[in-house]
Parts: sequence; C-alpha cells; structure tokens
Amino acid sequence: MRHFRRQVLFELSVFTLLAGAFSPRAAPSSPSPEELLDQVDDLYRSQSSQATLQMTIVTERYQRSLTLESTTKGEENSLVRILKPEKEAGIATLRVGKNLWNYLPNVDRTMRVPIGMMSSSWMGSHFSHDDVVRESRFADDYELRFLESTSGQSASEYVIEAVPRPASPVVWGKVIIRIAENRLPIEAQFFDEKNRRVRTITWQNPRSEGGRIIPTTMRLEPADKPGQFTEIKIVHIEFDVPIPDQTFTLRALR
Amino acid sequence: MKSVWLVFRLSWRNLWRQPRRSLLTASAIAVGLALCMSTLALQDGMFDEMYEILVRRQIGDIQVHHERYPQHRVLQDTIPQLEEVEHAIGQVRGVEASSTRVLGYALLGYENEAIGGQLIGIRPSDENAITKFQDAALTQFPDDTLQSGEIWLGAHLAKRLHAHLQREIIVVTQAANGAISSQIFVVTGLIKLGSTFDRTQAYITLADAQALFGLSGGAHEIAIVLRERESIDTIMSSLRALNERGFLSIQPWFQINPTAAKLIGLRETAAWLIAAIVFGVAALGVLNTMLMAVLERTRELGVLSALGMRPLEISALILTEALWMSIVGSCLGLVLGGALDLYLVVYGIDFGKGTELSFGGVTFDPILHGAIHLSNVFIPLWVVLLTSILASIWPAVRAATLEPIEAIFKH
Repeated sequence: MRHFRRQVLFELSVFTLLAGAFSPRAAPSSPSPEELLDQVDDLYRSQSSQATLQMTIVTERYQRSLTLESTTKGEENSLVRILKPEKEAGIATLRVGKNLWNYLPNVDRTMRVPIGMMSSSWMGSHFSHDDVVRESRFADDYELRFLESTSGQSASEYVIEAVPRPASPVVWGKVIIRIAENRLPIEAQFFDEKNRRVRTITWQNPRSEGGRIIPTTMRLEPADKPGQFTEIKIVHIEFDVPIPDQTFTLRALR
Repeated sequence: MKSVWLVFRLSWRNLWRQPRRSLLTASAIAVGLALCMSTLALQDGMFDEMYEILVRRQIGDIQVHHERYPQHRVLQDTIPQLEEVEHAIGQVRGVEASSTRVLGYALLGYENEAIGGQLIGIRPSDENAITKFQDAALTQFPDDTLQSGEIWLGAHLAKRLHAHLQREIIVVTQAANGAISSQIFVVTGLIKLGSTFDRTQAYITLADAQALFGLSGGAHEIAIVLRERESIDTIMSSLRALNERGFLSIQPWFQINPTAAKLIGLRETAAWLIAAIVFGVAALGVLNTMLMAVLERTRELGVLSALGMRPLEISALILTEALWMSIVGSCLGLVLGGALDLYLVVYGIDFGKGTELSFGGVTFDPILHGAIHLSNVFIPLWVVLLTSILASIWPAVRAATLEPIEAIFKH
C-alpha cells in the first residue's frame, strides 16, 4: 500500500483508501478530532497499491481526460503512468522520497523536477508537483478542534478546524474539514495565511474497492477560478499487492 | 518699401563700422551654434543607438497581437486570421520588415538540469530583418540558419543549463489543448543580444513552435519595423484601419515599453537644456554689443531722429544690425558645426577600448558616433536668430525713444 504522509492525502487521496477501519469497527461514539483525521490520513495507507484512475481536468481553455495507472510502495515510492490518450501514453512521474522525475517516452528522457518547478502543475492538472511529494499528517502537524457544522447538514457531520503548528512544513494558513458520520471525508477547504480560501477538495461516491469502503471520486477546485477543477476517479484499486522495488527506478521507466 | 531696403543697407554698413567688435560677437554666436550642433549630434548618436537596441531590435516599432494577448499572454490567444493580417501588413507603405512570432514558456532540460525559459518561434530570415543576428555576437554551428529541430539559446541561458553547441536539449511544455508536449532540439547557436533575452529566451523555428505548442498555424505576435521612425503615426492609422472588428491589438513601441520611451524622451529635455544654455550666453553677447553700439551712437541717432526718422525705423535699424550679426555668426557657425558634426559621425569619440558604456540598460559601443538629424541643425539656427532679435529689443527701444535735442547736445 502506499503511504502518503502528507495532508496531500486529501489532495491525492485516490491512491489509498482505508475503509475497513470505519464501518464495522467499533469506533468510540464521540471521537476526538485527532482520531477522525488519523483515519482520514490513513485512508490511503497501505504497504503497496496498484490502481487505475481517471483524471479529468477542466480549465477555461481546455478539457482533458487521462487514464492513469498508479503504483505505490511504502511511504516514499510511487509511480504514475499515463495510459490514455495515446499521444501522452507512457508519460510517467516517479517519486522516490522527496525527489520527482518525469519520463517522456517520445524523447525517451527522464527529467528531474527542480525545486523551482515544484509549484508548477502536475500533468497539467490543478495539483502541483509539490502536492505529490508533500508529507504531513493532521494529527502531528496541526492543532485541531471541532467547529459547529454550518452547512445545515445536521449534527451528524464532524467539522474540524486544523491550524498548522508553528514548526510544521505546511503551506496553508488553515484547513477546515467536514467528515461524515461514517468517518469518510466529505470536503476540505484550504486557506492561506491571509485567510483567503485557496482550494476546496470534495470526496464522493464511496464504494467498496480493494477490500475497503472509500470515496472513489475526488475533486479539486481552485477558489480563484470558478468552474475549473481536476477530478480523479478510482476505476479500480488493489491494496497490498506484491510490487518489486525495481519498479521505482529511473531505468524501469524506459 | 524703399525704407526697408534702406534699413537693411544702413544696418549692414553700421555693423562694419566696428569690424572687430562685430566679428567678435558674430564669432561668439558661431561658436555657440557649432557647439550646440555637435553636442546634439553626439547626444543623438547615443539615443539613436539606445533606441535601436532597446526598442527596434527587441520590440520593433509596432506590434500586433490578439486583442487580449498583451494583458494576460495566454498561449491560446493567437492572432486571428493570421495570414490575412500578415498580408495586409506587407501591403502598407513605409513598413520595412515584419516578423511573425510564436511565444510560449517551456521547461528546457539538459542532462539533469531543467530550467524554465521562453521559446520564440520565428522565421529566421524575417526575424533577422528586425533582430539583426549578425550584430548579436552569435556563435553558431554548423551554419548560420536556424532549421527545424534546432534551437538557438540565449548565451546566459545556455550557461545556466550547462549546454553547449551541438548538445541536445529536451523541451517540455503544455500544449494549447493542455496535453504535455515534448521534443528534443539540437543547440546550434548561442546568442548574446545584450538584453534580458540572453538569460531567459531561445529561438526555434515557427513551424516547430506551432507543432510543439499545438497551435495549428497560429502565432502570437507580429513585430513591425518602419523605414522611418517618424512615420509611426501615419502607419499606426493605416494599420488601425485593418482592425475594424477590433480583434487585434496594435501598439506602438512606446506603449509596449513606456520605460524605454521615458528614457529616450530624455533626449528632448537634454536638447532643449543645451540649446537654452548656449543661446542664453549668445544672447547676452548680442545684448551687450548692441547696447554699447546704441550708447556710443546716441548723438548720431539723435540726429537721425531730428531729421525725421521715425522711432519704428530707428528700432528697426538696431534690430536689423543684430540680425545681420547673427546671420554672419550663423553662417560661420554652420560651417564650423558642420565640420564638427562630420567628424563625430565618421570618427566618433573613443571612450577607450574595453570600456563598457552602459546607460539605461543598454550597453554601448565604446566609440560613440554622432548622428545628424536635420532638425538638430535647423532648430538651433532659428533659435539663434530669434534670440539675437529678442536680445536686441531693449537696445532698439532705447534707441527709438531718445529725445533728439538731449541726444545731440548732451552726448
């Protein structure tokens, strides 16, 4: 299974989902915010995973749909490859720890993503390369507290405000997360230091996949560009499958 | 009519009653004019070069874009009906050359380095008419044309990438439809244009750029260079006529780079300052001389007045003397100034080899040449004549208002 120890868990949460933890488990009836967010952070943890994803990108200028294959092992290794459309098939992003490389099949070259490029868009989506690499954990890196639910969704929902701790390597000023009664995340809003909303991530379509019940659709919407979004759907995912280490090498990309 | 002619003849003869003094004052005017002309020529040489490098070679005199392009520079905002626009521009008289460009950002990579840069897709011969590659310290291999699959990097950019000639560079970018697009290019040229280009930009062919960015025949910018800078207003109007439906943005260089415009505008201010100083001094000379002349001829002027010469005619006499003096001085000045100007244009002033003259972000040749613009000859000329006349108004009034009896018997 794949470990994404970062609050990008929310952002690239498609990679692992932890459902089994929720439904049948005898959860305490009033969980702490830490517990809830631990479960969400762990939504995508596994020793290894293999998934097929559909990523749809809608911007002002174009719309694209990509079919991706994602392979993860442990917390540090992941490989995402484009399967469709044909023009881009074979383009891959390899992550090992904090390093990121892109592989371009039609020139048969790997290119390391330099620090200066980390905030640029990943695969043309609204996610950045930084999102792919970032590691943080809500319970560790944020101060958490419950808020009253304002969405009229009723008291069956948990609303948590997460403010980063001083020393945390986190870019946000604040994150507000809404979690359903069944412990699955519904929505997270990310604010910058000036308390302006920067992006919103929503989760939908919970389903059983790979032995867990997980939201299979995740959508990222930038706050400053209404109507634009990147949506990732899990078509299929398997957890804890055996994956050789060599998969995560530059050589293997070619 | 007869009296006008008389005034001219009389004042001319009066001038030569004191030949040394008149010549001295005329020489002062001559030197003033000559210095003014040569300083302006040198200054113009500098500003002309500044204009050439800062404006003409980078921006051109006029640029045409998609209406929305200048504000946001979005890849997808290509010039509508490109071929028709290009054709129409070619038809406008006064246009010396134009170059169509594709502009886009990409990641350039060589071995393990990857740097963001701007790609400019060009038709090499068209662009050369504007950017003048042969003046641009271009190192090339194997030949001097840019072809498909080749890339010319800004010299500094190449250094940052650790890339040399004949190396292969990967270029990765996002195409107009959002897809990731990549291609390998061979470095066949390193350019130093002396501007920000060198650090951040690179040339590829127009066709390659269109393919890379998925633009199917589109382009972002047409840079236009005019035969004569001064004709820019007329040409702008002709071009605006093409833009009836308002799909295009047509901008003159000073709108595109207002800072350069301000910098080059300093020339006007400097020119007037120089002229003011020089002619202020000349005016004082004329004033002094004419005042003295009136003073020492008080008796004579009294006699003229008593004989019936009207005050207007007397003042005309004085004014015309001053005018003659400045005409003589101007002729001498034009000759002297012309010689100086010619020297400056041909030989220039050498500030020493290896000195890097830098002003306003432009690096100049260490030998600064003058440039002769006719307005810089005629305007000082008229100013000289005018100041001489103005300077002699006071003496002329003095002469005209003399009381004849007093003038004759008390002086």
